[in-house]
Formats: sequence, structure tokens, C-alpha cells
Amino acid sequence: MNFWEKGKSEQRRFYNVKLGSKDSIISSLFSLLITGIVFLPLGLVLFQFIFIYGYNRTILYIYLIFVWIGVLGFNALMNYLAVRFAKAMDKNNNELQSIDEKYIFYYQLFNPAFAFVALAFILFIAFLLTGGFR
Amino acid sequence: MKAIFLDLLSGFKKTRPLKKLLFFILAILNLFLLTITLVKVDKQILTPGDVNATVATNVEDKDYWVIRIQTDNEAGDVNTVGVYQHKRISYFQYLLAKISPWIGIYEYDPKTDLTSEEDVIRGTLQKDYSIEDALIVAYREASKKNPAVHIEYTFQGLVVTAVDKTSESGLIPGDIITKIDGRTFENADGFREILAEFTGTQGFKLTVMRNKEEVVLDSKKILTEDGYKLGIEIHEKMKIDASKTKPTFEINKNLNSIGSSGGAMMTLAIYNALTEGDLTKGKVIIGTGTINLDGSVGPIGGVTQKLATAAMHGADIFFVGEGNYQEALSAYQDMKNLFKPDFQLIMVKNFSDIISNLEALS
Repeated sequence: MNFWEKGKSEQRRFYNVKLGSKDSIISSLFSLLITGIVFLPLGLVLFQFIFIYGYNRTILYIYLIFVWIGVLGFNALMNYLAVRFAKAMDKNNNELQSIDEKYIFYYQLFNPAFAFVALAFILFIAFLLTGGFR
Repeated sequence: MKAIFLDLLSGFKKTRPLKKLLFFILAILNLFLLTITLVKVDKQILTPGDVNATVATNVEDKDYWVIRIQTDNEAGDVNTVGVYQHKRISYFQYLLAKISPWIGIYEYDPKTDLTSEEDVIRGTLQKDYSIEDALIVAYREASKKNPAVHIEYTFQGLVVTAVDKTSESGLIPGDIITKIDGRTFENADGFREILAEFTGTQGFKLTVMRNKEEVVLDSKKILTEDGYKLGIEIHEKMKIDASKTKPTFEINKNLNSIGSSGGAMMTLAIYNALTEGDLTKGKVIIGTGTINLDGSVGPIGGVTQKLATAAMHGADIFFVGEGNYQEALSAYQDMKNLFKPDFQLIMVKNFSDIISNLEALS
């Protein structure tokens, strides 16, 4: 079983774990917060970059790929931290403790369904902002 | 929450030294990026922008147009070119801008220079008078070839497009000055002649139209490096009588550009739409320069960025006013060293030069 398949199975196991609603909410919110803090500088860099080089269509297309990779990285880290924080909050849950979040990170980083939806969303936003691709 | 922090702390303690080092490097890099993206510098930049179509006619429907003329002639592929301006950029953006030769970096003084909002107001007022001036010059020139073309207009006053922060004129952008000290004038020179009669900080009255109401202001000049001035930017404002103008026209109310630098190209497109045949002969015409009521083409800012934009948008001909020609030529030569610009750079002094250059095209 490769990293990705192992990650998929670990992700499924995590979804099936019965977590208290408080633990679930706190671990999700904190994973979002910490990931946001980690990605804030990168987000600012990408946001400010486009104001300078947005005029260049070639750079714009490369930029969109970077944004896409950034979104995939954000999703991967957020899911990784959500499992990690859930494990920290519910130490007596053996099923939860046996999940290896490292594999979830790899799975989410290369999750084709999420990657497709993220790409479609990014292209849609870019299309709206630029008034179409030329 | 405490459990989460303890988990992060214990996890970090257990981490191998090499990973700890990597973590610190990444943390420092993140802090560095955060700092340079948040710290602002007093610079403003101009980057290449976009080109915009100008005129649509009955036979040429376009996605975007500034003016629609009710004729069956072609206006041609005549475009204005705009640039993007960003003020008080971050240090990161400043470093990025320094990489490209096509991005202009200028000093910005928040105490004296216009804010972005004031620039938009000024640009919108400039766009409005620029369209009117383009219509007047184009209709007037076209009427020489076709007597059926006719335009009627009157001098309305002087529109205030910008006011210096230290000005004591009492004026605000958008005001239209109609009288000075109760006396009327016929143009900007007439206004300046009367203004010159008031010396130093001697007070006088200005009658203005503000939000369609007449207001009388107590004004006086301020001492500047160039002597006593009002500290305002003005332009002659004409009122076109659309009901007496033939062929009729319509101005697009939802324009996405501001400024007056598209005046010369709008004049060309309107003129082309009013006269028989296509003066542009199917070529992609891009250009920059204001149009004055006497037909002269005035200088504009950001010509290097506009030239780069034209190169990216497949221009065949780029018209530039005399005042910007040297800067444009220098940028054009630099461009030649990087890639072969596939367009001709032509200097023009007035609208007649544009027409004669196009008429000479094979």
C-alpha cells in the first residue's frame, strides 16, 4: 500500500471515529487557525504579487498554478492538524490514537477530487476578475 | 485547548535536531515574509495595464465601447491603453517592481500627493471632459469632409479636477467655475487674466456650479514655489447639445477606465466612424495622448508601461504625442533589445498628424 492509499484509508478511519462534538469543533477550528497563521505570509505574498505582475498573462497562468498548489497545501496541513489535535484532546480513544496523520497529509495533498474542485474554483474566480482568458 | 498546546510542545521536544533547525528556518522565513508584506513604503508604481476599444457603430458592435455613433461606417480597431497605479506599496511589492524594466517606481508623499480616492475622482472628471473634447474635435474635423456632420457646443466654465491640500480657494473637485469676482470669461486664459489682477493673498469671489447649484466662494491664493497660485487643476468644460448634433451619439455610462490619456485615440475612432471608408485599413491602432480643443495632442504619464501593454496586445501602430516621444523611443529601443516589437512607433503633434499618417498607409 503506497502513501496515498494508506492516507485514504487513514482518512476514512478518522471520519468513522466517534468524536465528542466539543472536541470535533475545537480541533477543526484550531487546525484552521494554525494553518491560517502558517499560510498567512504566503497568502499575502501571492495576493500582493498579482497587483504587480497581474498584467502579464503568462505570469498570471503560472501564478494560478502556485495558488492551486497553495490551496492543496493548506487543505493537507489543516486535515493533518485536525487529526493531531483530535488525538491530543481524546487520548483514551484507541481507534483515534492508532491513526497516522502523516499519511492523511499526503493523501490530502494529492486528493484528486479536492484538487479538481479547487482548480475549477480558482479558474472561475480568475475568469470573473480578469474578464476572460486571452 | 491546553491539551493541544501541550501536544504541540511535546511533539516539538521529541523532534530531531535537524527538523528543529528546519522549523526555525521556516519560522524565520515566514516572519520575514510577513514583515516585508506588511511594512509599507512611500512609493507608487505604474505597471502595464490593458487596452480598451473606443467606439462602436451600427455595423461594429463591440463588447466594450466608450462612445456609440449612429453611423453605418466602421470606427476601426482603435484602442486606448491604460496602466495600473498602486500607491503606498509594501516593501515586498517594491522589491518585485524593481525587477521589471516595465514597471515605473516613483516617490509618493502622503502629505502632498493625491490619495488613491482623490486620483479616482480626478481621473473620472478627466475622462468626462476628454470624451467631450474628443467628440468636438472629431465632429469638427469630420464636418470638413462631410457637411452633414454637425456638432453644437458651448463653453460651460472651468471644471476643477484636483485641489492642492494647502489650497485656500474653497473649491472641491467637480466644481465648475463660471465667474471670478462677478466677471465671466470665455476660456481658461480669460480666467487666468482676471486672476492675475489679484495680487498676493488678496481675497476674491468665485462663482461655481456645485451639484447643479450656484455657490459663491470666498477665495484667495497661496504662496507656492512658483509664486501665488490658487492651488487647483482646471480644464475647460464644454456642454455638447446632443439634440443638435448629427449623427447622434451615446456615451457608455459604465466605463472601466479613468483619465484623459485616451483622448487622441477616441478622437481618431470617432472621426473614422463619421467618415467614409476605414482610415485604419484593418490595422490594430493603439495610442496615448490627450486631445486638446485646438486639436493638439497633449502629454500623459506612464508611457513606458503603455508601450509595453501595446506590445503585449498586438499593436500594429502606436501613436504617441510629441511630449512623450523621447521617453517612448527610449522604451521602444529597450524593447527591441529584449524582443522584436511588432509595431510602428509614430510621433504626432496634433490630430491632423494622426490622419495624415494613416492616410499614407499602404
